[in-house]
Amino acid sequence: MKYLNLTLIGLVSIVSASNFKQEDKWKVEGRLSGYLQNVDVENGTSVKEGFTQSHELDIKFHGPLYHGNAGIEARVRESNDERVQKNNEHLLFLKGYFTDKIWNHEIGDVAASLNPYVYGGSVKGLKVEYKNDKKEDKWDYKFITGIRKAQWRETYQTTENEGLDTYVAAFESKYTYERAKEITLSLASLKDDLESGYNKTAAGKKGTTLGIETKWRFNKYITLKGRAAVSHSTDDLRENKDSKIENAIRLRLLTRPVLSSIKSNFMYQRISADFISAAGSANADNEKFENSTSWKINKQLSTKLNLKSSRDNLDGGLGDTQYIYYESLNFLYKPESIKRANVDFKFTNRDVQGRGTNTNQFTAGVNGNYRTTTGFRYGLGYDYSNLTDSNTASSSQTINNIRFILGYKQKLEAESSYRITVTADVQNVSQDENNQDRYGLKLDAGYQVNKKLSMDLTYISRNTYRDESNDSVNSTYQFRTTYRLDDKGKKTVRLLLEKQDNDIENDSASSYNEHIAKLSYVYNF
Amino acid sequence: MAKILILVALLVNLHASSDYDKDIIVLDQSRDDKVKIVFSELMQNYEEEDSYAFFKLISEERFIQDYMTFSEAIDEDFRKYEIVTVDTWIDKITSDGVKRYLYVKWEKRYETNDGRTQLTQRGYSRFLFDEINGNYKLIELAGNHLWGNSLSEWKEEVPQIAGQEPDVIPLEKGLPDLTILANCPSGFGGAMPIDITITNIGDSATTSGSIYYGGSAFYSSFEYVGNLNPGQSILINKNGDCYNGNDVIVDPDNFIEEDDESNNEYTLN
Repeated sequence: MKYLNLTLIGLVSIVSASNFKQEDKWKVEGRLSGYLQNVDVENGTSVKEGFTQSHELDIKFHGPLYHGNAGIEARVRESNDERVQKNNEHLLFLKGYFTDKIWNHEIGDVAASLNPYVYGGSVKGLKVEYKNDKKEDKWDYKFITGIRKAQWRETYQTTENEGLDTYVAAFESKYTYERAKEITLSLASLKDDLESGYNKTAAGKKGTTLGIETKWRFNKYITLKGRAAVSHSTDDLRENKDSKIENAIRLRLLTRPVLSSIKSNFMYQRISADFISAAGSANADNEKFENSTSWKINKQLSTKLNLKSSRDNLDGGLGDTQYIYYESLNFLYKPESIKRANVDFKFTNRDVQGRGTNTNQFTAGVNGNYRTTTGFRYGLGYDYSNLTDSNTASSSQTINNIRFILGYKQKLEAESSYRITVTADVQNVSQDENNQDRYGLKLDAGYQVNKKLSMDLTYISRNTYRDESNDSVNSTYQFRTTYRLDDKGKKTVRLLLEKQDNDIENDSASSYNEHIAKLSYVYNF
Repeated sequence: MAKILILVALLVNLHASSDYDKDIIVLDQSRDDKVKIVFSELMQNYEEEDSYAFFKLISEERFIQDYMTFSEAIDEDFRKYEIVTVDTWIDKITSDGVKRYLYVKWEKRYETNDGRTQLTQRGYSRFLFDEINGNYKLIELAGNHLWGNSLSEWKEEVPQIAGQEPDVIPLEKGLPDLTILANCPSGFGGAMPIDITITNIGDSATTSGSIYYGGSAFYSSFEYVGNLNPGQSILINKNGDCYNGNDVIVDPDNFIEEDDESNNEYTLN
C-alpha cells in the first residue's frame, strides 16, 4: 500500500509538473473598473476643472476546445477625460487564442519582447509559439507578424495624425541547456509603407536585425548575461538613405567571489553611433562601463559601491565627446542590540564633462529608522546636495534638508488597526541671489476595520519663503476611504475628497483653491 | 477483466479505509497549517520591518535564488518604504512531496520613507517552503513582488507564474523609460499653469495603470491614470509653483521600473 501511495504521489507530481491544464467548461470572466471625478477651482483656472469620468471593461470568454484551451479577450473604455483618452477610441484591445500543451496561437492584438535590440512591441496580427514540453536540453520557438497600428479604427479608415503603416515579422529560437543556461537567436524585419498614413512626408524606415542573447550560470560563483545585434537598416526611406551595417553589444558578468558575503557585477555596453534597430530599440552612440559591488561585512553592517562611466560621440560625428562619471557608496548598519533599527549612509558624486557642460554634483545623506515593539516609529534624516556648474555659475546650488518622522501603529482585534504619523521637514536652497527656505508638515491618520473598510485623513502643509520673490503657503486636506464588498478583495469602492489652498503673497490673482472629489471602483467577476 | 476490476475496487476500498492514509491526511493538514503559520510570521515580521526575525524563517542553505540579492532587496524595502497595510488571501497550497507551494493574493499599501506619496500595489505570488529539522522555511519566491520590489536586480531573479498581475516586465527584455519636460506658458513668478509632457522613450509600455508625477514645483504628487506605449506622450496642464529652478519629476518613487532612472527630472528654466 505504501508503494502504491508513493506511485500515486509520483504520478500526481508528474502530471502537475506540466503548466498546461485543460479547463472544465466555457465561462465569462472580467473586470469593470473606473472613476467619477469632479474638480472645482476657486479664483483660478485649470484644464482639470469640471466633471470627468472613465470606465473600463475587460472581458474574457474562455474554455476547452479539442485537447487545448481557447478564448477571446477584449478591453473597452469610455471616458471624457482627455488626459486618459485623447480621441474617441473605445476598443483598446482584442485578441483570440488557442493553446495546448505545446502550441500557443494568438490573433488580434499580439505582443512579444525578444532581444530588445531586435524586437519589442505589439502589432495587430498573428503570433505562434512552440513550447517544448521538456525541462532541459530543448528548443522553443516564437514567431510574430502583423501591422503596427495605434488604434483599431486605423485598420478601416485614415485618422488624423495617423502614422505610417509598418509591416513587421520576427522570429526567435531559444535553446535551454538546463536551468539558467540559455542561448537565444532572434531575427526581425520591418518596413514602413510610404503611401499609407496621414502625413505623406514622414521619413519611414526599413531594416533587418539579427541578434543573440545568452544567460549562462556557470556555477554558484559566475553568471554571464549578454546580448548583441547586427542591424542593416535605414531611418529615412523617403530620401533613399542607404542601409548601414551597425552593431550593438551589452555584457553583464555577475560574480560571487565569496558566497553570501560579497558580490560584484560588471556591465559593458557599446552601441555604435549609427545603430538603428528598426523593430527593436536602443539608445545609439554610447559606451558604458559599470560595476556594482556589495559586501555584507557581518550581520550588522553591509556596504555597496557603484561605479559608472559613459561616453558618447563614438564616431566623432558630434565634434566633442561628453563623459559622465558616477560613484556612489552606501553603508547600512542594523545594530543587533536594537532590533528593528537601521542607519543608512549614502554618498554620491557625479561629473558631466564635455560639449559645453562641466558640472559636479555631490550628495551625502544619513537616514535612521527605529521601530519599537510597542508600535512607535521614529525616523530622522539629513541630506546635503551641492551642484557646481563651472560654466554657468548661477545654476550652482546647495541644498540642506532635515526630515523627522514620528509614527504610531496599533493592531486591534480581528485584523483591525489604526495609525498616526507626523512628518516634518525643513529645506534650505541656496542659489546665487535666490535663496529659499521651505517648511513641510504632514499629519496622517488611518483606521482599518477587518480587511473591509479603511479610512485615512491627511493634512499637508508646505510653506516656501523666498529672498527675491513672493512667498507661498500651500495646504492640502485629504480624506480617503476604501470599502471592500467581499472577503477576497474582488469588489472595491474608493472615495477621495481633497481640498488644496494655494496662497501667493501679494498676488491674489495667482492664489486659488481646488476641490477634488473622486469615486473609483473595481469589480471583478 | 472483471476480476481485475474487482481487485482494483478492493484495493481502492482498502486504500481509502486504511489508518495509514488517515495519518497521511492528518499529517498533510498539519503540514499545510505549519506553512500557513510560517507565512503569517514572515508577513508580520515584514510589516514590522524586523529583518532578524524575518530571515530566521528563510533557509540560506537551500534558498534556490540568490540569497544575498534577496536580503539586499528586503533591506532596500525597509529603507525605502513604510508599509501602511498589507492584506493577504491564501488561494491554495499544493505539495511537491514534503515541500509546499503557497499561493497568495495580496494588496499592499505603502508610503515612501520621506512620507511623500502613498501607493497601492496588488499581486499574486507563490512561495515555496521546505521542511528543515521539522520546521518549514522559505526557499523560493515567484510571481508578483510582495517582498523586495524596490530592488530591480532581485526582481530579475523572480520567475513569473500563471495568474499574476501583469505589472512584471522581465528586466532584460526592454523596459519603459519615462522622461518629463515642462514649461510655464505664462512665465515665472507664482502659482500658474505648467505644461508637462511625459514621454515613454523606452522599449515597452508601462503597465502600472498609473503614472505619478510631482516635484518641488508642486505641493503634492499627482496621478495620471493610464499607461504609455513606447514613443507615446501625454500633455498635462497643472497649476504649480512657476519659479526658475523648481523641479518636476515623473515617477518620483521609482514605482515604474525603467531602463534609465536618471532622466526623470526636469528643472524649470
